[in-house]
Amino acid sequence: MHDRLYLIIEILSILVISYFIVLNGIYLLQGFFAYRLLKQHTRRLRSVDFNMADSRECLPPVTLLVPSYNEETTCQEMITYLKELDYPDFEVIMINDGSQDATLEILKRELKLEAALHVNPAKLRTQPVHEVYRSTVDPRFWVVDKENGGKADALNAGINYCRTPFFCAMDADTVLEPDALIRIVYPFLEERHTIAVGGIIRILNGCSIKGNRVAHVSLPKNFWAQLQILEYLRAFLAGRMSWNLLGGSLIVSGAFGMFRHSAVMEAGGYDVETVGEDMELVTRLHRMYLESDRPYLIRFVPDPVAWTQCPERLVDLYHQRERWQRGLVQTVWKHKRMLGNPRYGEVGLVTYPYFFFLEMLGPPIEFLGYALFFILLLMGQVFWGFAIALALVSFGLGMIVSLMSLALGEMNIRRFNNRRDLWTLIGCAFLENIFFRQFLNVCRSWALITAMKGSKSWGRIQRKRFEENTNPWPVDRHIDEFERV
Amino acid sequence: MNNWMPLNDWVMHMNWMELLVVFIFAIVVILAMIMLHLRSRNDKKAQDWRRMEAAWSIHLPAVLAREEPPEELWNQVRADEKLFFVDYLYRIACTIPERSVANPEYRQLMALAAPYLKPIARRVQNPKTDSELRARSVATLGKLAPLQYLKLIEDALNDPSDRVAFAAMRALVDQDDPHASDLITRVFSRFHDFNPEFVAALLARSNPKLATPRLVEQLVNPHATLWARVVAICTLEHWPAAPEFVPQLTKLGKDQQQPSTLRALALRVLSAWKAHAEARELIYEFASGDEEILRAHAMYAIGRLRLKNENELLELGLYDTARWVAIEAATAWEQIESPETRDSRPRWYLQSLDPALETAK
Repeated sequence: MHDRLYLIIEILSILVISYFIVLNGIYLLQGFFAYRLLKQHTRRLRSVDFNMADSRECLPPVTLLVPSYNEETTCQEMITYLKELDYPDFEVIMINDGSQDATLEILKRELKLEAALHVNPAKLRTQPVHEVYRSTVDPRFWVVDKENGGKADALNAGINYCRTPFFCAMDADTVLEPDALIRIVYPFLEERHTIAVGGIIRILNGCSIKGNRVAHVSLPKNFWAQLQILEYLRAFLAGRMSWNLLGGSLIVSGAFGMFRHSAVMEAGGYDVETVGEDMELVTRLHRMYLESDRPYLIRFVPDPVAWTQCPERLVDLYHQRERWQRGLVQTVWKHKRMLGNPRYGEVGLVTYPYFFFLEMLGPPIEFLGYALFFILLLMGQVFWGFAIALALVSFGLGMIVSLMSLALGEMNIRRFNNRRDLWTLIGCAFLENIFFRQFLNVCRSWALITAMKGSKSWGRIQRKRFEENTNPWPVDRHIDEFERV
Repeated sequence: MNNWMPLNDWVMHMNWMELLVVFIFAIVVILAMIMLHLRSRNDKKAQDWRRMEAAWSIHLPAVLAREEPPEELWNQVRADEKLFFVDYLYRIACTIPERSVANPEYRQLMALAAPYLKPIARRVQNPKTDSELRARSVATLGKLAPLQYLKLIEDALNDPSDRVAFAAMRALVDQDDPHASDLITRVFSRFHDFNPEFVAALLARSNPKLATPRLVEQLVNPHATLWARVVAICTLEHWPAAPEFVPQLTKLGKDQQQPSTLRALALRVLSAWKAHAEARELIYEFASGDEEILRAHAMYAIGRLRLKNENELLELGLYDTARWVAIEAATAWEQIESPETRDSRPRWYLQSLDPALETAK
C-alpha cells in the first residue's frame, strides 16, 4: 500500500516538476523572442508616419462596436472619449444589451437619438432588436437597442449593422488613445491578408486623465491593481508579442481588437455559448483559414493602446479571472481537434498545445504541486532546506519573467513616468509570488470545474466612473514630455 | 586570495539546489539592474531631447520664415547631435501637409537638413544596415532631400526589402520627375501583399499627367495581375477626369469577360469623373446584374452622381436581398438628400476585394 502511495506521489511530483520546468522555460523563451520582436517593431515604427497628414484618405472606414450592459456610470464619458478619436472615417455602434439601468436614456439624451432606417442587417442570429437609433448631433453614432443576450450576442448584433470592412470590438469601460485606431489599422494596410489585430490593454487605475485622454501614467494605490499591472505587461508584451512568431496568438482581447468584417461573418460571428467569446472567435478564425489553406495573419501590435479599469477588490478579481479561465477552457475544449494536429501547422503543434496543457491544465497542476508539497512536508518527506530552496527557485523564476516584462515595458512608449513606480513594480514582482499567484491559481482551477458543469454565468464587476478610478490631474512636471510623445 | 577561501568553501559545500537558487537570484539582480539602466537611459534620452528641442525650437520658426539665417540654428547643433537634428526636422516635415517644392517653408526645412544628410545616405547604401533602419533613412531622405538624393531613392525601389522599397515609393510619389513616375508605375506591382487601396492612395499623389497613360496600360493589360489592375483603377479614381480614357473604361465596364471587381471599379471611376452618360449606361446594366458587387456599385454610382431621377432603382436596391446593395442604396439616398457635397466612400468593394484577389490567383 505504502509503495503504491509513494509511486503515485512520485509520478505526481514528476508531473508537477515537469510542468514547472516547461512553463518557466517557455516564459523565458517568450521574453527573449518578445524582446527581439519588440525591438524590431519599435524600429519599424520610426519609418511610419502615423500623422499621415498627406495620406489619410487611404485609411479604410471602420466601425467601433461597443456592447453596453448597465453602463450608466461610464457611457456618457465613453461618448466623449470616442468623439475625440483621431481617425478620418469611423462609425460607432453602441449596443444596449437590454440594460436594466438608465443606459439607454443617457445615450438618448447625450446623442439626441432618433429611430433610423433599418438597412438590411446581416444575418447573424441574435436576440430581437427593438430599435436602431442614429444620433442627430453626430451621425457617426448609432445605437442598437436589443434584448439581453450577453456580450457575444450584442457584438453579433453590432456586426449585423456594421457597414464597414473592418470593425473594432471594445468594452464600454475602455478608453482608446486618440491615435489607437490609426495604429491598429496599419497592419491591415501593410499586409492585406491580415484578418485580426489586437492592441495592448493597459490599466487605467491610478492614471490621470486630462482633456479626454490619459495624460499621466502612474501606479494606483491599490495593491491588487498594482499586481495586475505587472501581470498585464507580462501577458501582452511578453506573451502575445512572442506568439506573432508562430502564426499569432489564440486571443485578441475583447477589450480592444480590430477584425476584418467579412472574415468574421464567414466564421459565423461570435459564439454566444461561451463566455470567452473573444478567444473562441480568434481560435475559430485560425481554424477556418487553416482548414481551407488560405493565407491569413492574426497579429498583436504593442503600440495601439487601450486603457481599461481593473478590479480592485479580490471578489471582483475572482469573478473576472474565473470567467476568463472558464472561457479559455470552453474554447480550448471546443477546438480540441487542433491539438497536436499537423494540419493546423504551428498553431496546432505549438500554440494550441501551449494553451491546452499550460493555460488550461496548468493551474490545477500547479495547485496540485502546492498541495503535494505541503503533504510531503507534513509527512516529513521533504528536507526544510530543500523546501525553502524550491520555493525560492519558483519565486526567482517568476521574478525573472516579471522583470523581463518590465524591461520590455521600458521599450514601450507609454511608460511609468515616476521612478518610484518602477521600484514598486519590482517589489510587486516578488510579492505577487506570495499570495496573488496562488489566489489566481485557485480562481483558474475552480474555473475548470465550473466550465465542466457548463456554467455560463458572467459575474458582475463593480464599475466606477473613469475619474473615480484615476488620479485627479496633478500639476505635472512631465506635461511637455507628454505633449511631445 | 585568502579572503576568498571561505566563499570557495561555501560554494564547494553547496548542493545543486542552492547553486540554482543563487544563480536565479543573480539573474534577478542583473535583470533589475538592466531595467534600472534602461530607465536611466530613457530618462536621459528624454532629457536630452527636451534640451535639444528647446534650443532648436526657439530659432526654427524664425528660420523657416526666413527672418533669421539658417546658421542661427546650425550653430545650436553640436557635433554629436547631428542625427538627432535630422530626426527633429523629419518630424517637423511630417506635420507639413503640403510638401511640394513650391512651399517656401518646406524648402527652407530641406535647406536646413542638407548639411547633415550624408551619414543617412550612407546607411541606405550599406547593405549590412537592417531593413528597418534603411527604410527609415530612405523616408528621411525622401522628406528632407528628395531631389538631392533622387537617384539613391530610385535605386531603393529595387531593394530586396519591401519595406525599404515602399518607403522609396512614398518618397518618390511627390516628385514631378517623369523618370521617377515611370519607375513607380513599373514597380508598384511588387507590393502585392499590401492593401491595394493603400497603394492606390499613395500612387494618386504622383503626377496624373505623367502616370495616367501607364496606369491605363496596366489596367487594360489582361496579363497583369488583378491586384495591379485594381490598384491602377483605384488610382485613377483619385485623379481629375481624363476624358480621353473614358471610352476605355466604359469598354472595360461592359466587357463581361472581365472580372466583376474590375467592371464595378470602372463604374466607380466613371462616376468619380462625372462621365454621366457612360456611367448611366453601366448603372442600368449593373442594376439588373446577377452579382452583388455590380448591383452595389450601381447604387453607389447613383449616389455619387447625385442622380435624382433614379428613385425607382434606389428603391429596388433598398429591398434587394443582398445586404451591401441595400446599404449602398441607403447611403446613396442619404447622399442625394444631403446638402453636403462630400462624396461617401463605397463600402462594398473592400469587403469583396480580398476574396476576389485570392480567387484570381
